Amino acid sequence: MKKSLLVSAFALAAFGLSTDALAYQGGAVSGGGTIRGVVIKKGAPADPVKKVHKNMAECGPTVAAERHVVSASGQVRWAVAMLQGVEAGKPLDTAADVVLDNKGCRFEPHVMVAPTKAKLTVRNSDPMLHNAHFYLLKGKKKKNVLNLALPRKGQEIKKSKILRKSGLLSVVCDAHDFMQAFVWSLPHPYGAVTDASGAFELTDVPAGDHKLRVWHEAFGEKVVDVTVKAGETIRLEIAL
Amino acid sequence: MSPRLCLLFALAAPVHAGEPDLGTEAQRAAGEALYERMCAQCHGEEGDGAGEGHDFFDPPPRDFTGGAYKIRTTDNGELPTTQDLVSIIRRGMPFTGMPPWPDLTDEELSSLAYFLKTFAEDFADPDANVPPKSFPPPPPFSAESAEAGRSVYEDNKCIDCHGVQGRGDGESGPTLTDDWDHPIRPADLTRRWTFRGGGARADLYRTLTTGLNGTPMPSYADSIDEAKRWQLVDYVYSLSPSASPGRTFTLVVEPVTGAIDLSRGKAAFEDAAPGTFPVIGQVVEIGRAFQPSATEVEVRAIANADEVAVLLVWHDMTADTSGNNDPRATVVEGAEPPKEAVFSDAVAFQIPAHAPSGAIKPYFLFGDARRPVELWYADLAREAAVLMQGKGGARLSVIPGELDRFAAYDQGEWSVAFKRRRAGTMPFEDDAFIPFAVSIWDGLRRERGSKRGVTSWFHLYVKPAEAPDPAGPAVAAAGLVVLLEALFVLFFRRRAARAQAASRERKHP
Repeated sequence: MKKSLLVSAFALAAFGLSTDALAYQGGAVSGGGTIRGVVIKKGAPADPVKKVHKNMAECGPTVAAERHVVSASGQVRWAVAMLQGVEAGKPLDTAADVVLDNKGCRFEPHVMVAPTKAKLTVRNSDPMLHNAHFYLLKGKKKKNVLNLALPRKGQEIKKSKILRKSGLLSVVCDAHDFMQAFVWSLPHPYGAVTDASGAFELTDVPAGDHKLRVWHEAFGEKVVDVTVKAGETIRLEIAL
Repeated sequence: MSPRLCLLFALAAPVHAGEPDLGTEAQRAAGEALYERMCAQCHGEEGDGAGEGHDFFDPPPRDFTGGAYKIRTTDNGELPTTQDLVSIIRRGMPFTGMPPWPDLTDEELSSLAYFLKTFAEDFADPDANVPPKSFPPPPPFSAESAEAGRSVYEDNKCIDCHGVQGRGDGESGPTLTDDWDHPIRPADLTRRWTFRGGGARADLYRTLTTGLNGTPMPSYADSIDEAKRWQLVDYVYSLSPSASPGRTFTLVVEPVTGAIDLSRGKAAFEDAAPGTFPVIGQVVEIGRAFQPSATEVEVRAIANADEVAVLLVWHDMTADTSGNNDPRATVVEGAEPPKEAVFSDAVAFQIPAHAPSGAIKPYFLFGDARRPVELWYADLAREAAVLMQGKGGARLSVIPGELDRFAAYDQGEWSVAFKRRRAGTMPFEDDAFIPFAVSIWDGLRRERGSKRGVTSWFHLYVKPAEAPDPAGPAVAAAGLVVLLEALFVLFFRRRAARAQAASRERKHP
């Protein structure tokens, strides 16, 4: 029977291991190169406006969704560029100070990258209750990682479990259904969020062939092959 | 084991890792057999919560594939322990479709728990298994602690979801969803017997500490220290009257003098003792709803010489006073009305249309052809009440007659009153026992027509206004007994005295 097979397979899986972060070897990079890129989306729709139902005095009647933050020439903000399957390179700073703030009825930043196994500080700078609800996204499924109450202004809670695994975390605030952030927990240091001009930069990339993955919450993703040469800077334009 | 594998194990084990507890193959197989027989109908063959029963439950049956369980002794976001799963199955989830399973043995329950774990791969991951938190024994409850807890409740903005009075009517309520994007309601803290994880103080403490996975309820472990968490527990505990409210089968219609002024609302019913009646889902006819929004209704009734009035009070997260509602609305199972359709809150008070002869009452769901019912209906988006006659759910019609209505919504609570003349086809005569039932619709949850909360038949007793005070006859009866006893004593004493005198005379003639 199918289920019995599943049960056996499950028992076998018990001996499996999660090898997140084990694969990456950090160290000094000599003869690395730089990847500079701009993420472009042509003809993007206007950024949706979300209705505010609560704390309107502080938040206003509506807030920007920040889903389509695109300049007139198509430069995309809040995209993430990251290397895929990189096994060695500059050290991953798991002691880094990474902060996700609840400020002005939005998460600050809206999108961030953070080292897997680092401690994430969650802050509330607003004079109202927020709850930072972290989900690890796996395909269409989401798995609750931590739902943290932040009832007071100035509160800071540092947690190691949020970035326990690598992958994409969605952060919502149940108290304000219009709030949304994304955190990429990366097992290596080669990840960056695009700025208002759609630009990103990855430095000290070991020379050689790499797969560069560009992700955006609304415009999807793309993987491109790049070859990094020692001491050189590659310039890319990636259209989503 | 190869040295490399040993190294891998050593590296992969972070400080908080626990040992996966997966049971034996025989246990999982035994669990699977039980699951197929007793659980799959709701939770689905694949454990994804998509069994046959799925559409009828709110909250829907749990999807086990993500490993998200509300009631745990582990930290927020973590997997439950085997014992947590055993406890949930044994105790059930109050006021949901999940019943308790007290007859399953410990062995059967743990087999089931082990089988449930096969639905979510994380249970096999040592990194994902954390040991349970330790919970100290509850300190004793005190009124001072509960009082101090009120400010903890306010400081931590529990009000945002659970409301000022704790009735689950906070501002965030209408936008809350669970992890599967189903709407979810904040708990009504004034009814702790409805809490999914149990209403004991230790249960409340556990929920505040660990949160409820899969729901918007977060963990307060990092934001409220232990001492204040117990104060908050005591405050929440004190919001409910007792483990379960006093239920009654018969409600006294209290006689009052003078005119009944419905516009006074609840105040007009001050003299009448309340009765609390359970509201359950209508699960017989098409449009079944196993967990309606309302779980109970408090009823009070008064009557003067000419009129009778009834007050119905229940908790509702929001006052839905736009759109409309109608007890005759057709419900098609599996076909929801368009999203634009807005339903209002509504309530109906039901009595037989005619004085019942004998013990047989009309069918409790809006009557039947032989024994119709009279409905006092209020769509709370409308000003006027509607008088209806029902000969069954599909045969309701508006009938002429006067019916007054009062409605008010305050912090999560509806108060609706009706007033009618005592005379009618179903007269409210002194000393009469009149069956009544209540239907409640929550517009936000799109309850309409047959999809609603209902009560069974209960009774009103119309207490006569001029009922003699029982104290008078009681005193009279007691006086009579004392008098009779005195006469007896006197009689026997005198007889004894006479007998003594006679015997003295015989000895000394």
